[in-house]
Amino acid sequence: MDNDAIRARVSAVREMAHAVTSYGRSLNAALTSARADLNRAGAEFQTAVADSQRHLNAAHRRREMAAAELGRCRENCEPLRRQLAEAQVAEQEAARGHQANQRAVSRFDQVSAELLSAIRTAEATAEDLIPAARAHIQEYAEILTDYLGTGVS
Amino acid sequence: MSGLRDAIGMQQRALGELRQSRDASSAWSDEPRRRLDRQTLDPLTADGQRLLESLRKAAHELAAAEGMRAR
Repeated sequence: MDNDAIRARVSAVREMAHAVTSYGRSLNAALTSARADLNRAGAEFQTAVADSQRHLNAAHRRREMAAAELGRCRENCEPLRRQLAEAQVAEQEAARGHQANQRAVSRFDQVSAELLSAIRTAEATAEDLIPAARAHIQEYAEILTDYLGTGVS
Repeated sequence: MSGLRDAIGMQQRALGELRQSRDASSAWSDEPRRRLDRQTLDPLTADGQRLLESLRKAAHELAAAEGMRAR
């Protein structure tokens, strides 16, 4: 192999070294961004469930109060009967909303667990392979540089 | 979900650049290079591709989960 061929190879080796380092940086940035989004989304799902639970509790209390008022009523009770019916509908709607949020958070938890597992696998692979690739490339670059230094063709 | 979309974009670009560099560095084609490819770059690229697919699936599933939430 002549010196030009060796120099072309050295350049290719440097390109690979740069590419591997750059890939490692980009991968870390992608994983950080994905994790941050999962954390943000997780907090939003938890807030939604807590809010709908509070809404359901309040609707339950209003329905109980309406029922108690109607229980105490002795005459002209129709407005209280309507109030209780409305409170019952509101409680049912709140319960449906809360159930929807619980199902949503359950689905999110599954998505999050699967993605975090994929992220951990990718991190472990990268932690193992990127240094190995860089060491391999560095070792080869040194051999080529020695060839060039000694003028071997 | 912009963080996941960003992650997908970053991983797509990272994989594209890695593949491009592998192709562009074809002047290095000997047994050490084949060993580098076989032992590190091939599995690294395959794992990166699997991660990209997981990110895409998660973005899709997360959008579905967000759609299930009560308004």
